[in-house]
Amino acid sequence: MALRDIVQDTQPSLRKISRSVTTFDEKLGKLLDDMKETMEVADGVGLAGPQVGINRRLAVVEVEEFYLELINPVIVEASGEQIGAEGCLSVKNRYCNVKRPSKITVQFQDRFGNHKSITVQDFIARACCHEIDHLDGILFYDKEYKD
Amino acid sequence: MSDIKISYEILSNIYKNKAYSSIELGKKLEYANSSKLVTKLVYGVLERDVELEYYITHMTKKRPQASVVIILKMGMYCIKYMDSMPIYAVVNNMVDLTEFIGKRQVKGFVNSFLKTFCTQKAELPTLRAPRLSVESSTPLWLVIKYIKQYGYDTAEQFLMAQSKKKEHIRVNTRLSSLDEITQKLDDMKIEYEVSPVGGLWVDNTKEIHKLFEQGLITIQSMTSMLCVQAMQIENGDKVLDMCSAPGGKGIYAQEVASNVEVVACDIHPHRVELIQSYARRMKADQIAIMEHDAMTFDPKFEGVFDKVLCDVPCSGFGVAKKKPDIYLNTTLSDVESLANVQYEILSNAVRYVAEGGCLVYSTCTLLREENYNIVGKFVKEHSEWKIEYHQQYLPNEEGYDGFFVARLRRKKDENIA
Repeated sequence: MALRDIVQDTQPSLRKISRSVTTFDEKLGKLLDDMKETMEVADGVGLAGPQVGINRRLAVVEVEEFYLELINPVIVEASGEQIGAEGCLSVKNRYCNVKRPSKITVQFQDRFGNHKSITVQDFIARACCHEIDHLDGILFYDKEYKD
Repeated sequence: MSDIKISYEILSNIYKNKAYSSIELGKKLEYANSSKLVTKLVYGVLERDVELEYYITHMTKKRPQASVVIILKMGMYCIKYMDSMPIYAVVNNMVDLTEFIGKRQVKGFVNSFLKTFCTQKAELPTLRAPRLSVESSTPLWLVIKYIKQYGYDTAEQFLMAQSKKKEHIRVNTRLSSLDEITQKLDDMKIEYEVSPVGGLWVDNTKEIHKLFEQGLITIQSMTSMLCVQAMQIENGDKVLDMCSAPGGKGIYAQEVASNVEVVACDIHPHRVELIQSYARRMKADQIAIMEHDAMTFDPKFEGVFDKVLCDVPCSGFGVAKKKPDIYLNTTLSDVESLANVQYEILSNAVRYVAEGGCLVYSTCTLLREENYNIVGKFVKEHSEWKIEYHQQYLPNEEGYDGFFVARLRRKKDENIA
């Protein structure tokens, strides 16, 4: 495994819409392993492809014992609302409140290309929404919530 | 106006206009029937904000308006934490309040929300970190940081620790002595307990307040006293207290040995006045008090002081239980800008240390970014200095706050000391 450089805000790659993953090979597995390690070293709870300079639709999310690899994720159901602070490994020194659904169902593929679906809520739902936004070139502060 | 309405107005100003809770309470408390009730409700809602926010998220499909959110938080707090109010009265009061602020159309919603809250126990998050965040009412980003820095078990322990309900005082040795004061307390039949740092734990009663007003004692935390003790002040030492206001540490520093000269500084004039009035009450007229910016290097201080205390501005998360609105006003970006200020102050402070002297760096926070990382980075960049001692204290039931203290000394002075 190896650490990847985390792309910082104002780099155009963070604003691009990423393309789907079509090849499920060893290279993809290695990329996901690297991303997991990079995220852990950087004290993050999620990391998306564009943040390591790969404009492909993939992301990792880790909150303590919960770990998820999302490839070609699509939110198929969302309900409720939650307000909470977010930050981002690609955006230094900026934190703000963002409104997110409190519960979502995501369809995605795992690293072997198997189709799966998962329902998550609260903080994990927030983390997934944040990462999936990256795949569409959206950063959390675009959605800053002010009461 | 009823106490509920007063509490609402105070909370509304705090949430919407970022007013400080203590100032806002000070302004409106005189209009309250029971200032105790208003204080408990306002501080309580702020203290449990993260928890109450979680219930709102879970029990609503769409986020209510900000003013309605405040009413729901007040209602839930009363139901969960204020046994003195019967539930039906809480619900009625909150429904009335909703009408009073001109939100008639959501009266039914407030009513049914609070009734549901009474009858259905909200499920807590299943993951450990989010659950601890709700249970301890601490923002999740901070809980995750604590878990990473301390491990889950330690983080849980200090986040869930009940703070000691007593007041920590120390004797003003200019005017009295520990024996004299304990004798007085015995005579008045006031219970006390000697603390490990040489102070006393007491209940904050009128009698204690009177001793305080007379300057015979002062209210000072154990951790503040430990910061001063870490300087190892000796007779005749010159001491600089750089960010001194309200002045407690500098004034104590003058008492721990004889013929100690203390210079106490702060950057803001109104904070300098706080030191002056503290010193007046304590009859500490030997202390030099001045307005001084710790961020700018001052050549006239260079190499002058045997002991320098750098009690830097910090996030204050180590005393969060005493500052209920701390998480509303302090975010991670503040932590990052504070770290720059802290490093800057430390860099100036070391230049004021005389040959053979030492410096104590302290904060009342638990985050590594403001603590070990600051002094660690400093000695890494200035090889002539070393960290002689450092300790991270965690909040616990024995009355300690979360604070950090480190003593720095020039390597060549090691053998002299």
